[in-house]
Amino acid sequence: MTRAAAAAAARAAHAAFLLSIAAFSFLSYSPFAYAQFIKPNVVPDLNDFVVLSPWLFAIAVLVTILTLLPALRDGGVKGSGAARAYVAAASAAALWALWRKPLITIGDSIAGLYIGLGALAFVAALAIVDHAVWPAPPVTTSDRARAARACVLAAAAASAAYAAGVPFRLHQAIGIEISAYGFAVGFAGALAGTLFVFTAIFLALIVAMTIAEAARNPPVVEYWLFVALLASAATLVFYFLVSAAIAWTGRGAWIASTSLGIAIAAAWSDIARLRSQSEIRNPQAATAVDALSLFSSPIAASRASAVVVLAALPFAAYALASAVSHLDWNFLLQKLGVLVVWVASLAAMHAAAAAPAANRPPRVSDTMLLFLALIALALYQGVMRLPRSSDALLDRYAAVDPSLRLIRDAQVTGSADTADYYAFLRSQTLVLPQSVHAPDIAFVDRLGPARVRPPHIFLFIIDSLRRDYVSVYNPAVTFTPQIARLAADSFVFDRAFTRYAGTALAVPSIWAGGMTIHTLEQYDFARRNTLLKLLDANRYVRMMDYDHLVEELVPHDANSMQLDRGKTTMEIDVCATTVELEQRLTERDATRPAFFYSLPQNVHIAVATRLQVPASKYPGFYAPIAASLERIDACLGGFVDFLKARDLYDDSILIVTSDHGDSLGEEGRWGHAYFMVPEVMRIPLIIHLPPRLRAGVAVDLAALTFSADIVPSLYALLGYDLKDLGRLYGRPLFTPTDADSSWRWRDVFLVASSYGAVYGIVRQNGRRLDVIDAVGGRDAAYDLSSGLLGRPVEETRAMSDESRREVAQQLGELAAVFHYHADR
Amino acid sequence: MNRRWIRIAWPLALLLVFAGTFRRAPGGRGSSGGSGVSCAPGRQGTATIADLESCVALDPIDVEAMLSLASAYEAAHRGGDAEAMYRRALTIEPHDARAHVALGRLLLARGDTDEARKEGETALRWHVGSAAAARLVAEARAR
Repeated sequence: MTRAAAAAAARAAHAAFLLSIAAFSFLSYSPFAYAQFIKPNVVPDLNDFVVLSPWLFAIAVLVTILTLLPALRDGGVKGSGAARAYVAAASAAALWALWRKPLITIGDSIAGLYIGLGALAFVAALAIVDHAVWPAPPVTTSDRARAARACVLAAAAASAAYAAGVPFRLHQAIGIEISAYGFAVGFAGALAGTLFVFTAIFLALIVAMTIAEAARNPPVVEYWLFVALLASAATLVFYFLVSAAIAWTGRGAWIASTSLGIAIAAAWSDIARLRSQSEIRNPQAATAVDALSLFSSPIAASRASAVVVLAALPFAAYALASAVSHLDWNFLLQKLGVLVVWVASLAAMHAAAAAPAANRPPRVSDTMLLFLALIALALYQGVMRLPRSSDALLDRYAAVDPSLRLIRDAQVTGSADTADYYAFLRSQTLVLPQSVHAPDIAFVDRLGPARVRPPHIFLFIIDSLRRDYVSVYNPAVTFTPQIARLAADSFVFDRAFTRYAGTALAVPSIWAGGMTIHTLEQYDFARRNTLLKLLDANRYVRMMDYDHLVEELVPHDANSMQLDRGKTTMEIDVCATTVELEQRLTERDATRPAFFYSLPQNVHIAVATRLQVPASKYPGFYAPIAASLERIDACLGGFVDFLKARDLYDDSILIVTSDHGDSLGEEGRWGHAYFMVPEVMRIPLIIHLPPRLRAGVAVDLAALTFSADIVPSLYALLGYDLKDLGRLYGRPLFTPTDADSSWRWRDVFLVASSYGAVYGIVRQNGRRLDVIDAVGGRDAAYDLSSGLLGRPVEETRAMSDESRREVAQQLGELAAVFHYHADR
Repeated sequence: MNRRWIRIAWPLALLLVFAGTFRRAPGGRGSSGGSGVSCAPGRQGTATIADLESCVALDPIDVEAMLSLASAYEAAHRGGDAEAMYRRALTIEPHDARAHVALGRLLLARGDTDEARKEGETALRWHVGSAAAARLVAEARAR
């Protein structure tokens, strides 16, 4: 390996490391990403990265010094001053990082933005140093015909690379079947879409080439215009794809995205400069490098390396998607992987499309290029005008082909009225806490001690537990016998839903007993914490976990007894918690009732997927989740036995439910993110009551219920007369025997994503779910009356309009309660 | 000079065309449909039998429309149609205690006490403690 090649490899590692630092810092600065990923420690490996980062930076600086040694030693060498300045600044920064360990203490502060920008500045600065130290290669203008060939062939190669993985991804996905005809339609759609994208790239390239013709040194200007195009494209990708996915918009997001775009382009041109040094040393080849070849050189500098890249493409396409699919956020990482594959494909095809000088094909005219572009446009338009049945085939294929998913999700949707409606939804979503006035919510005026002796209350909210993974809802389940034993002695609610498709708002809605304004920071929550008011009015001792959400909802005070002290949210485990709970119950003050709350993470996809479980052990189920659930089940059963042994069971309300469900491969989805789909919205709800509270109440087990009904139900069971706060709030599940519960069957209920402008309407007693997705830009409807998870259906325009009206009306009611005005 | 501008202009213009056409197929919000009758549950109480029949035809899983229609049939002394509609609703919502009680009442009025009692008992299994279901069972047993 030459010194330049070694330096190029070092620069790639240097850039990858500092881009990772910047990404982490920007995620910390984004309130949404910090609250959802970093604070709850969703990816524990990030901790290691944070701890090691100062040492890794020091190593990166040392390696950089080694690669710059000739320039550092000899002050007369071109660029030595820049190299020395860089090394001085980088060394100072490395020492500071070792001393202050900034990523550990970064928190959710402006420091995240500054540290991220600082990290990217070192990437750009090193590129400047290398451009000063290493000589520029001789460059010629690019060959348009070769660029055209490369774009067409790259589109075909990228589509084929993803198509090759479709059978394997189909095997992993649930609920998708694709016939040979469906595969053909899907592949044709993916090919047409990819060709459309690559033709657009080609058009941008020839605009750059033509502009460069007017310059004094066209080849050099051409090359730098390509670098500028890369910076612009990367900026747009970071802003509209990455930042949008983590609900980060505005000036800060633009600054971060632009800096990332510039840093990537700088690192790219740095590596291109270093890889071109072999061309400089080879006088025969020195005149052969055109601007686009130089630009492509970080991926493939020769036909031989191009062949290797192209051969590896299907494997890379499959591996990049599979490695991140379970932990992905709204397919973001898979989409970024597609962009990487596309860039690699284009660069490799350009290198492979080089023709020997002797039989170089004739130049193609602009007319021919225009004709080719129009063919690509016509093909794309043809696919877009396929009949609806074929469009459904494309949707199905997109579920197992990330490249088609990226293309379809990027397409602009709909009419002006839809755009206006989506803008309205976005204005009601993730609103700033300071624009909201939290109301004082009370189910009971002048709340005093209950009329009945308060029972103990045990509230298990198992994060991400799906309804169809519990045997009382799905007879095929064999791994929840203890929950089934509890259910036999409890009320099992058949149509339970969450109001929010994500923990961040689902948990506050349970404590509040109703919907909440869409904001991530629940300021003044004590005013509407109806569960806490009930507990305090009845002198409950709160033995509970303080996960990162409840930490902000419930105070630590004389009535609280924290369990799992020192654990992060993602470490909360039912089995360990119940052991500690049993001990606390044994030692408790027997004159006071006990309340327990926990949000165990055992079946959360970020936790359960760490288990290695053979799929054959749980046929028909995702084995890591099933195995985790089997363990939870045993511990819950043990806890019920403990209550029985201590004569507490018949004096306890025991609730087992979840904050939301999860996608486990349905149509290629994993996790929940912005997904508002049946497997995420439907939850289990099992409530055991003491015999003394069962008498004299009625409960409609087949009626639509929400987890937000739990708290008003507790009020009712304790004998309070509740005010009806309206349809945005929960209502008691347990009523007087002559009460009318038919409204549950008739009414339409608002549901929402916790993280983005995705809203839905649950109607017809939970048989229908209509979804309006302003994030993905498409509406959907599900018929939940058949099967365990229902099926997607086409809705009529009338029903869609009705759902939109309902969502707007109920969001308006919610905004009025919280004195929120979007334009404030 | 003009030639250079044309050479820049055509790919740029085409690029804009590409950006403009990069949109999803129209009609993503579903086909137009509807009979002009409002089938929203709250408005079904005042609807005529013909309106409700339209609603049931339009949305074959609309149990509320079916119950309203069955009730309207009962009021119009069309007991057979009412029973058929209650049973149809129960094929979609087998645990709807309201439908079981209403069907039980219809059967009780017809003198089919055993079937009426069974409907009441089924209703009680799903709407535990329901006074209406308990009354139906008691009346069926008393006859």
